[in-house]
Amino acid sequence: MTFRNNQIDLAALPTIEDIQMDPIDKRYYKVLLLNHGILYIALIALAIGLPYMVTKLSWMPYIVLVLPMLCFGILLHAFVVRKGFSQRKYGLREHDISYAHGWVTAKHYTLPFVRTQHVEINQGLFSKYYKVANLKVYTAGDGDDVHIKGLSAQRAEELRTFIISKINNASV
Amino acid sequence: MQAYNFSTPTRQSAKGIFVVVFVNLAAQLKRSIPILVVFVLQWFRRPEKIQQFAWHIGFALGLLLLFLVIRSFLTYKNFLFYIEEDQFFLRQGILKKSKIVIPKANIQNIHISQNLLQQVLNVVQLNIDSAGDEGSEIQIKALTREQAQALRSQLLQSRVTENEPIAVLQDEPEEQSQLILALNPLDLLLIGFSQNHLRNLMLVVVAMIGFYQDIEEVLISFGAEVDDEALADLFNANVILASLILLFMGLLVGFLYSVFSVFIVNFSFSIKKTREALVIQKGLLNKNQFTVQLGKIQSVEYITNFLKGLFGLHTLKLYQTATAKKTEKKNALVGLRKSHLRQMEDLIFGSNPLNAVVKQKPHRYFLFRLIIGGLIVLGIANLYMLIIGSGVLFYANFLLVPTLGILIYLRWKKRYYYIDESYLVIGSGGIDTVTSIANLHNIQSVKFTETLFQKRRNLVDLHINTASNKFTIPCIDREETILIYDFILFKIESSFVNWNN
Repeated sequence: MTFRNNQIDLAALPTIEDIQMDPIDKRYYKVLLLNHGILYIALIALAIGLPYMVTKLSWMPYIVLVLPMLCFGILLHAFVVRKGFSQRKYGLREHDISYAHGWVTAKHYTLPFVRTQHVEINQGLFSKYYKVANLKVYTAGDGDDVHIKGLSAQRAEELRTFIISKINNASV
Repeated sequence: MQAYNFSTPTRQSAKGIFVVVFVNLAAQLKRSIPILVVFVLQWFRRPEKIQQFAWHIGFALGLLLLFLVIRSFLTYKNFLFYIEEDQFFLRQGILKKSKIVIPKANIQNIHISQNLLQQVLNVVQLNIDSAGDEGSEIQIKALTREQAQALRSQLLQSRVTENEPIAVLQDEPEEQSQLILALNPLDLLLIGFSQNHLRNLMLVVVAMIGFYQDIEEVLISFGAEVDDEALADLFNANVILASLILLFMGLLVGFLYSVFSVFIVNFSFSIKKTREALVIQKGLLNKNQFTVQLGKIQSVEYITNFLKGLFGLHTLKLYQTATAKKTEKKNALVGLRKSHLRQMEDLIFGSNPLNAVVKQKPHRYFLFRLIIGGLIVLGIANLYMLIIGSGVLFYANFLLVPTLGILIYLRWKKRYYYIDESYLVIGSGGIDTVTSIANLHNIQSVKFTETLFQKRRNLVDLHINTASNKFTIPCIDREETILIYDFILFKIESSFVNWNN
């Protein structure tokens, strides 16, 4: 090795554990409910409609087996979404943005602004109604991009402006 | 050498028309293979019917060919490229015109190749990989070798020298190159011999299962008698012997495939070093010359296995931005010895990161997770055998259980990680031994994940992304992960070293 840096005190480095993580907008829960609700209804409708269309299926085992399983699956999914909602948090530092989500598998992303390629805001139909938006921050390659869902539309816009100013400053 | 000026719109060599015709023809043929197969089968069955319509068929084919030739000519006419103000422009399209612009700084690598047809016509193909999304590669299919080399050196030349006379720069790359490695046919045989044959065996098995029906049908249509019973009888007579024979045959096919493919793909393989790039040459039927810019390499990977280890052979993979999947195959350099690896490290990193490595193991929970995964595979396989319902198949467990056991052990044993102030080194692999090295300043983002089960043990998985690869360090202590995480972020954010220069 030709070059060695001075000793770095690892304990003195700024740590991600000190980041004040903010929860996302509560209104996004309604969006999630609506989005998933439509999916659930479609699944149940399909499950009920299927025996009418496929005459070969017999009714009895179907009602006893498939429908309860489907309902159980839906309830479980809804429970996981409920549990996971409070885990959705984001935090901003001078040089990077962090995002955490997930209950069964908790995930924590951090993306430095010096490696940010571009920022994108998108809004679905329900999100628009409830004035929330999703912010997606991209890096090069197909790595893990930070995708913060359910920020208030205004907050998302603020974050985008902030990150873009950071990117532009870094490249000067 | 003649000086080439690419500032005015330029067409490719007129021979390009032939290349385009053949490429189109090949594409059409590939698309119409099912029709052709039906056609040929009909011919065998009822030749008189075909003869009756021969004239119509000939006419239609002629018309198709004429159409292809005209289209190729127009494609050629409308294919123009030029360089202007540090940007490469390509205009193409007959009816739907398109214009592609690539800034020079975004060009990842350029390679020159020559397939059989191009070898006959004495033209070369120039491919330009940009940093964009997949499929954004530009191909210029017919240039003279001199033209291609001139274009390449102009595209790779940095901005500062842009306005200097071009002729001066042209002679330079060939002259100053330094040969790092050249392989002779004997080396190639050795490399082919030491490939991972088990993987090829899998391919052969999958292909046989996939095409078994098709092969049978074709044989029957040609009047051959296919005896399904014969195979079953063989198994009934002596299961172990029959299995061994099949296994041996599979291995033999896989082995021959390895040896031939290595020989053809890597024929006359050489690595040369020019000022800031590596020039890699290889191929028999399809001659390739790649230029990999040293500064654009995001990470490297060394692959070896037990056999290769005996001969001291390694395969080196160079990873670059975005187009990773596409360039992965091309940038696999075979037959490197330890000394070559050290030499490459000097070129790419300016030091030898492996010298300092102290292997750190993941927590035992990772082994536990591997075993659970193995049991699931075993369970699914046995369920499948149960559904198929042939008792004979259960004997497969005698092979499956030890294989899975050995694989799990190898994967656990070969897994390690090491991080110092400049480099990340990760060991992985099962049959193969894989060593990945990345410079910390090439890291794009970091992530850690913890499942509910891991949480109880205070373990997390650490994921580290570069522009080309995703690395995972499984099951390490939470506190240690946080330290590494903070350190990587500190390294990236406190320096302004460009990750893609």
